[in-house]
Formats: sequence, structure tokens, C-alpha cells
Amino acid sequence: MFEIIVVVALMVIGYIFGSHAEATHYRSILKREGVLVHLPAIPFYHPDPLRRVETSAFVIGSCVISNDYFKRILAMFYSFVGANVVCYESLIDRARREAVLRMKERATAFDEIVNVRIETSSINGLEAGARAATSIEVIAYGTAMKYEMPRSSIEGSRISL
Amino acid sequence: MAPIYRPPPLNDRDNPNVGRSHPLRDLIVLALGTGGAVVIIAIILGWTINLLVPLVPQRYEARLFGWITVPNDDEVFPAETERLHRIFTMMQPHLPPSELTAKISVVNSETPNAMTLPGGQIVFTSGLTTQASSDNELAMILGHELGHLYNRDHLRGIGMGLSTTLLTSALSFDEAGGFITNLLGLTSMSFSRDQEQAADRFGLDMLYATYNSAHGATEFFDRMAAQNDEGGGLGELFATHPLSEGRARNLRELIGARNGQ
Repeated sequence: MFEIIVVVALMVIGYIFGSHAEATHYRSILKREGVLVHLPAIPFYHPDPLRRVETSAFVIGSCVISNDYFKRILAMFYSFVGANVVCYESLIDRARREAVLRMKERATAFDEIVNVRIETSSINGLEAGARAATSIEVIAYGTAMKYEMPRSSIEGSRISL
Repeated sequence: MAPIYRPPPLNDRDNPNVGRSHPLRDLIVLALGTGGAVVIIAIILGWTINLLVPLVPQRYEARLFGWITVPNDDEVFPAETERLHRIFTMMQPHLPPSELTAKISVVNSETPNAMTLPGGQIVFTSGLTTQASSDNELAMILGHELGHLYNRDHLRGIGMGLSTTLLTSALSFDEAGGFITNLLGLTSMSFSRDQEQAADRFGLDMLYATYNSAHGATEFFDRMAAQNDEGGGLGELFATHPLSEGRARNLRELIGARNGQ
């Protein structure tokens, strides 16, 4: 009986603080994505062939987001029926976008980031078993490019290609 | 100058990467769904076991479990053993015909308790025999244990235990698995409480047949209720036996119905 009360209490705490953290984080992500939308982050290997590279740098953004207790219990129930683990989808989505934003924030002085890769790993303390605090880490990295000519000055010539 | 492409913001509503179902709704649906399914499975299992157990021939059961005995501490409790055997001899003519034979032992333990083992071994603790104020009280308890034997409740218990163990061993030992395991346990406990009530009825019948009176039927349960605070109402859901107070009340109702005839 006592165990049930503890589990329910932890779930309530997890739900209240987890949803609050998620809502706050999404507000911040949307705001910063709006600011950084003009800095392209693309997966292509090569920089823009029409412009001379002035300088380049390796940029990396990483982010670790923890699972909350409510999401963890809910995920176990999803696993009984093999449904989409919706409660983890938002976790991964937040971590991925946050990592890309942090990478972009490192490269605000550059024109674009090429060869962008995104990697995910889970941090789940295997020694401690299933009760360990599970979290996910997302790393986004790429090569930031600074060109000699600003992008707007070649807009016309790109179309004539 | 070409217009700059601006991707739409990925807000809550337009984000295709995150499912839109509400987590609380999902939790309630999934918990009720899996929990309900498990309770239904456990109830079907219980019914199946209750249907199958009477089909097992009694001689198989006697052969399978007959070897289970508890050494009698009769050199320590000769008077108690003698008393129980005397009551049993009086009761014997009234017992239903059966290939199962009851063996009675007294073991040294302060806790007042009695139990029936598979194969017909009935064990009384010395705490129970010394606390019992009358032969009628002991006859009621002996009748209850014989009820378990003739209703073959240990077979039901073994069947239910085996099937719930099989079911729970398939589940992981996390909180959601624990939730399912608890529900299985609670459902099997309700079957166990039904068996206790049936054994109580059998015991009362035996008491009547032996002494022509219901005197002493509720004494043990009244004393248990007075000695231990068993909590009320909801506590019964988490117990294999009905609460003593409820059992005493139930027996009084049965006695009342019998006297009214």
C-alpha cells in the first residue's frame, strides 16, 4: 500500500514538473528558432561552390534531457501494447532541436553550417538497473562556413545556373 | 531579390514529430485497459481452476500429497492433542464420504493459527489450543480446516499460485509490471476469501452436527478482532482471509438464518 502511494506521488510530481519544464523549453526553442532561422544548417558535405571560403570552424551543440517519472511509467504501459511511445517523442524532439540550436548559437558569426550530423544516445546507468534515471543525449555537429561574399550578393547568379 | 523562405514554426499543434494524444488520457486508457484485461484473465483462471479441481480424483490427491506430514509435538502437548482427537472422533460420523484422510498435529508456536496442508495434514499451533476457551471453539476451527480439505482448497491454491506465478514471471520487475502483479494478487485473494467463507460455512455445519448447537462458532473470530486491529473496509481487499469481524458477523447471520428455519 505504501509503495503504491509513493509511486503515485512520484508520478504526480513528475507530471507537474515535467509538463512545466516541457512547456517552458518549447517556448524557448520556438523563440530561438525564429531568431536563428537565417543561419542554414545543412547536411551537404561541400560548402557553397559559388563563394570563396574565408574561414571555417567545427561547431558542436549537445544537450541532455532527463526522463521524468511520469513519462517512464507511461512508457512501460505503452510497451505492454506496443503503441507509439508518444511521451518520449516530445523528449527526443526537444533534445534534437535544442542541440541544433546550441550548435547554431556557436556559429552566429558564420554564414552557414554544412555537413551537419545529429546523433542520439541514451544515458541509462545500466549498473543501477531499470530504476536508474534515464536521460537522452543528442549531439549536433557540423562545419561552420564564413564566406568572403555575403549570400545576398549572389542570389541572382545562383538562379542563372 | 528572391523572397526568403521561412519554415513555419514547429509549435505544439503543427509538429509532426510529436504525437498529439494527451499523456494523462493515455495513462488512464492504458492502465485501465491492461489492468482490466489482467483482472479478467485472473477471474477466468480462477473459474477454470474451480471447475477443474473437483474433477481431480481424490485418491490421486491422497497419493500425490499423502507424504506431507508435520511431526506432532504430542510429548509437549499431550492434553491438547488428546482434546483435538476427541473432538475429531465425535465429528467423524458427520463428515462427507471421502478418500482423503485428515491427520491432526499440534506444533509449538505462540501465534494462534491453524492450517491444512495438501494431503490432509491439519496443524494447530499450541497458541491456538491453549487460548481456546471451549471445545466448541476448537470444533469450529477444526470444522473450518476440514472444510478446506473437503473443498480441496489447497489444490485451488496451488493452481492459482502456479498460474499467477507463470503470468507474473513473464512481466518485467518495473512499476507497471508491479501494478499488473498486484492486480493479479488482489484478484486471486478474492478467490481465497471466498474459499475461507465456504470453509467457515462447512465448519459451522460440522459444529451443529457434532454438538447440536452453534455455541462457540464466533468465539475465535471475536477474540482475534479484539486482539488485533485489522483495519477496516478497504484493508480486506489486500488480505487472503476476510477480516475476523466480518467473519464473525457472517457466521451470526448464518446462525440466525438457521434458527429462523
